[in-house]
Amino acid sequence: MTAEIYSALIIGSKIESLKAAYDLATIGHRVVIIEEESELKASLEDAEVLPSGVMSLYAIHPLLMAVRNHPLIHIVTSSIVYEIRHSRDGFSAFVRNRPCYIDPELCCFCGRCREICPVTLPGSLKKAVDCISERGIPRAFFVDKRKRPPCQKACPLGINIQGYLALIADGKFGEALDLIRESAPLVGILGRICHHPCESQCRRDEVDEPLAICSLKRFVSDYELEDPGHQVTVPEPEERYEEKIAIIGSGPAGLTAAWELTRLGYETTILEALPVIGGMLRTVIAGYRLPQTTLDHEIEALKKMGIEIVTDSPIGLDKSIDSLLFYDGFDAVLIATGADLNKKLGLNGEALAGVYHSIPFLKRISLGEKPTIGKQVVVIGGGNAAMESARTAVRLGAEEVNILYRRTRAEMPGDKEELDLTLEEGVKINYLVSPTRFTGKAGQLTGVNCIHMDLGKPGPNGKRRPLPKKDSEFTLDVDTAIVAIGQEPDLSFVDEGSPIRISRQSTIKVNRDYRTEQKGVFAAGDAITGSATVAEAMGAAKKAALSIHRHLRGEPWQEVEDREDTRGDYEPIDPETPHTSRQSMSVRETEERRHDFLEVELGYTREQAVKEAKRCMQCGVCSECRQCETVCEDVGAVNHSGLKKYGEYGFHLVISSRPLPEEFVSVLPEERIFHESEFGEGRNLEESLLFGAGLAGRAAAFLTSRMQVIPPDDKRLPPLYKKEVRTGLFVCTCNETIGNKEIINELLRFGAKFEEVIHSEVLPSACHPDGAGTIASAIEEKGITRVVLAACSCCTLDMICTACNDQRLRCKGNLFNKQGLDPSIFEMINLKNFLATRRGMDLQGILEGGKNMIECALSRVKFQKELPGQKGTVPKTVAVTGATPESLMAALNLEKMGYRVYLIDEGDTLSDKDVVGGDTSYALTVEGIREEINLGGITYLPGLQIKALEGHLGSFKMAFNGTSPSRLRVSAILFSGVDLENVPLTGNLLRKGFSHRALPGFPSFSPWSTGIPGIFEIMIPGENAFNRKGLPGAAAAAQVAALLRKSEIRAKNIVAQVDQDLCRGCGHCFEACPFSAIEMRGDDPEQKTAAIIEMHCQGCGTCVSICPTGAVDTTHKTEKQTEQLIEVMLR
Amino acid sequence: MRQRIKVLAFLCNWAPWSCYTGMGEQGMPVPGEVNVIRVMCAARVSTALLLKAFEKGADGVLIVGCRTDNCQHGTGPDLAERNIDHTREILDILGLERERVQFTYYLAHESEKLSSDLHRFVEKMETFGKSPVSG
Repeated sequence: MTAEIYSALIIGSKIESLKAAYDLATIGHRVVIIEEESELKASLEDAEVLPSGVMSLYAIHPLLMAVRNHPLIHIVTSSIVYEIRHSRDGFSAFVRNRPCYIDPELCCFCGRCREICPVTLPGSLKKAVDCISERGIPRAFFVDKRKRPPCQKACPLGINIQGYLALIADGKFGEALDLIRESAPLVGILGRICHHPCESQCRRDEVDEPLAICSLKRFVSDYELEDPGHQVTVPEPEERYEEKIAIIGSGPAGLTAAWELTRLGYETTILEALPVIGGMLRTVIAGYRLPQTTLDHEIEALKKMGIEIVTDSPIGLDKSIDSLLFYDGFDAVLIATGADLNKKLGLNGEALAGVYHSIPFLKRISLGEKPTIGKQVVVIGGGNAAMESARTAVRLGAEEVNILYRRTRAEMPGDKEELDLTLEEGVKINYLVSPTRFTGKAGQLTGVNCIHMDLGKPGPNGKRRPLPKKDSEFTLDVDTAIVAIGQEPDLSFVDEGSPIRISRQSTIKVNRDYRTEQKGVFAAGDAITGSATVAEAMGAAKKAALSIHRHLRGEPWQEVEDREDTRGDYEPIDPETPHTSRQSMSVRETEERRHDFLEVELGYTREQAVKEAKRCMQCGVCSECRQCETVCEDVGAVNHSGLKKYGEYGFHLVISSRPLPEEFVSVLPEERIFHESEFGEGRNLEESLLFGAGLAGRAAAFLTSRMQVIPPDDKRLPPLYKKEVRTGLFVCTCNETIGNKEIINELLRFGAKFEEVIHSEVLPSACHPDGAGTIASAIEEKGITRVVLAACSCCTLDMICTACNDQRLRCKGNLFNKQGLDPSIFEMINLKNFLATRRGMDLQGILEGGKNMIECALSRVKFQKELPGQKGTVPKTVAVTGATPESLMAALNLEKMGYRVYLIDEGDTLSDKDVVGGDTSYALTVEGIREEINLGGITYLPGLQIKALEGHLGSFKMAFNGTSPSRLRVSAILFSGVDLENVPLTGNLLRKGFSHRALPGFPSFSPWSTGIPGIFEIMIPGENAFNRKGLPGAAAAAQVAALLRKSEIRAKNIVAQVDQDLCRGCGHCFEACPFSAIEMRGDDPEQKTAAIIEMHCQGCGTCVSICPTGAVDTTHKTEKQTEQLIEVMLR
Repeated sequence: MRQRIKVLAFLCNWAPWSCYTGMGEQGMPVPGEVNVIRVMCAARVSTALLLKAFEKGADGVLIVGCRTDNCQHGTGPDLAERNIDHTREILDILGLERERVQFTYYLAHESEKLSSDLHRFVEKMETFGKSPVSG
């Protein structure tokens, strides 16, 4: 792909750059603006009050909007230029974009995303979806997304933790649960028994304590059970595949893999050896930690997804992995059999009656048996299984339970919470003790010989190795011992001859993509790692499922992609953050719970959950809960999968607000770099605009020989107007934020009742390209000849006022430029603002007002006339009068831009050899001018005084006191060093005088215009850097060139027209017109009539209000239309 | 029931319209009595239109323009005032209160001022009561 070529690359978007961009684009150059913020800088500058009392933000707004709306200006926000290179066509800028996740070209600024966003940054009102300023350009929201939060990074399942915490804090419990289910099944189980590695990474720990992430997960799962209204949503897979997959084992890994594969679109069958489903979840984890009902509920949810679970179906004699693949029609097999074979101590007496091993011991209980247990029990081990065994022994009636652990508490692998509950229930823990043999009588256990240990140096697993302490043996009298020193996979079902390889630790060997050595057979969970945690087993199963999918689809394995760290680091933690301790969960009384198998922990209340969730530091700012996407479905502006984008833009020169970095400067020739800063800082707004104009002038002069200007686009003159009235009524809801459904429907019904209304329709967003598309196709299909659009645009005209905003302009742009519809047939009413200013009124009043507004619009559009528009060429001729340094510079610049320049000098300045004096830059200018005069580019006319001046932009007629020449016709005139009071205005300009538009404190976007379009006067704002660099001349040249080119196409717009039959030639309009747009025509001085010079007319209607006969009227909002409007309004 | 008064406000495109849309954005209510017509310039509102408003039953009419030195067209407020003076002379002859037609002006950010002026104008028209023309 070749990059688009622009004349100018503008880095930064301060007012100077924007003025330069606007002038260059108006002259016909394509310009690209790269801004690092999400909005143009100039709209972000502090709200300064100008000496006139006007707020600068409001004063510059129309210019900013014009820049935003200019067809030749491409604005790229949230981006930086990181490299500049030579290219075949000149230079290329390489740009990196920080994604905003909201498309500024689609955002209708309804604000629903911000409203629903659950993330409010601690200590501020800022949301993760927000905007910098309400009047920004582009006027759009953006998503502030930072690095992935540490909790989520730590989660083996990649659960969006910050997201669900934010939703809980916002009271959206069901949504929180749905969000968790996007990454993991078995939420109620994880919420109870997960080892929560997330919590140890939580940054809240830097303030006080980590969030209770796990318990909050349990809370939302409990919430679902209590709120039957919440339906488990199972998204339909995008595609369904034919392949069937068998999963061996229904433990957490098997269930998770089945869940993921089903979501991917596969038919999955789980084969379970036991009569019960759930693996270790069912058989080992006791009911007081994980109630069977919770497990049943989670399994039920999986079955609802279509997962088939076959119990009593062990792999072994009549079923093998091979038979699954070759006879039963499965295309892949996942081994998820876990690790449920107890490790043995290998001590004497381990086979005595009364010595249990934890897994079979716990399994028997969960299958409904009640193993006999003595009064004195020891449990050997320090993991969760040991504590589980001890607590079960308590519940079975043991009088004293001792845990023996050969290291110290610090090395204990079991969960801290589990240990606390175990101790509460009266279990004693003996650290640094190891059994040496079991002793018994008549085959029955009577005691355990033990020895005290010391900790030595760390072993290969990082834990300090326990060493027996000499002469510290002792004996414990016990009648029951439970060995819980770890588990390993039971892989007896793997055939001897199978290619599946088994490690020395008795685990299945897999590649990093979970493939075994047998084709089509995968393994995950404890079966490949040995005994680990539920979350780790589930995380591996999820990845294995993806690997199976890739294998079946013939795609290569890929690591799961992490989200790019797109928007930088986490917000720093405020050291002043008030401490709030973690919510503690209520548990049942020890005495009560010691005697049954009912759940010990009772879960959070709603209040507790919200309070706890609110402690979250919102590390990633955006939590990716995607609530904003749900409210933007109809508009489709929010898209969270936006990634870093790169762009290349070809260009010829750079205008930058700051000095460019060395590596750019080394590539670019000096003549192609235009800095604002080289002219110093501290300009006021007017000076900034002049600077911008000056930069544009110099740039345009530089570019002319290198870059063709783009011919004006005449799409703005569509011929669609018909006299017949067939009206279409369209009402925009601004993504359901204008009024409410009742109001909108009532207004639509009301409008549809009118005879001429042949079509009525509600649009979700009129400023969306699809909104314009809908209107355009309705016009075509239904033969609509008039359109009333009730949205937020105020008018159909090709003008930008202070009140205008991105959405209003975009709406018009889409309709009139992109769809090519005729603005003449439209009437636009700002229903949004109407309803916003009637908030608090009673519904009846609002409806009455709204209906009236619709009726007014319908009646006005009936009498709409076709707006005139014109296209023509304006001769490229300019008169520059006065031989000042500025005018000479302007003449030179205009000549370079391809204009025929007449330099009119009252004296004979240039022939005077001494004129140059000591000023070197002036000397250079004079030298340049002399050269151009010799080459014929500039015509020097010395010794001429203006005798008469009349005409208009594009055709000014000058007469001189002198003969060579005596007359001249030019398109524009630039004065410098001439007192305008002495310029004899005649004809249509007679008695008009020059009214300078730029008053102090009222910045003009067209500096030095005089009130007569096409006539400029250079006024130097005092001695400063601007003058010294010769910019005034360049600025003036840019103003002239921009205006002349702009006047070649006049879009369909409002102008005044004179009815010659009614005009009696009084001349009141001629006198009143502020733009010299009226001339009195006619040969007989007594019988002149008024005529409009459309090139000058701004459509203000001053002439209409002053005409005594009603001969003058505007083409739009005519007197008749306005009278009609008054009548309907006051009815 | 006492009939509600009706006010017509002609708002110029420029500063006044910016104030008006600003009112919407900032949630400032417009009195229900006020009907708004957007015009290109305060000077566009002819005496004929002002009288038309009274003829059709307006109890008060406002022309809302820009401050003289901030007028896009330079002459809008002066001409608007001239048209108002003219209209007032006719109101005099008709026996209507001169203050039933008024000119006010704003800078683009003065939404609050416009809001309170609209309320004040409505209150004032209430003291005048319904215009005899509207009966």
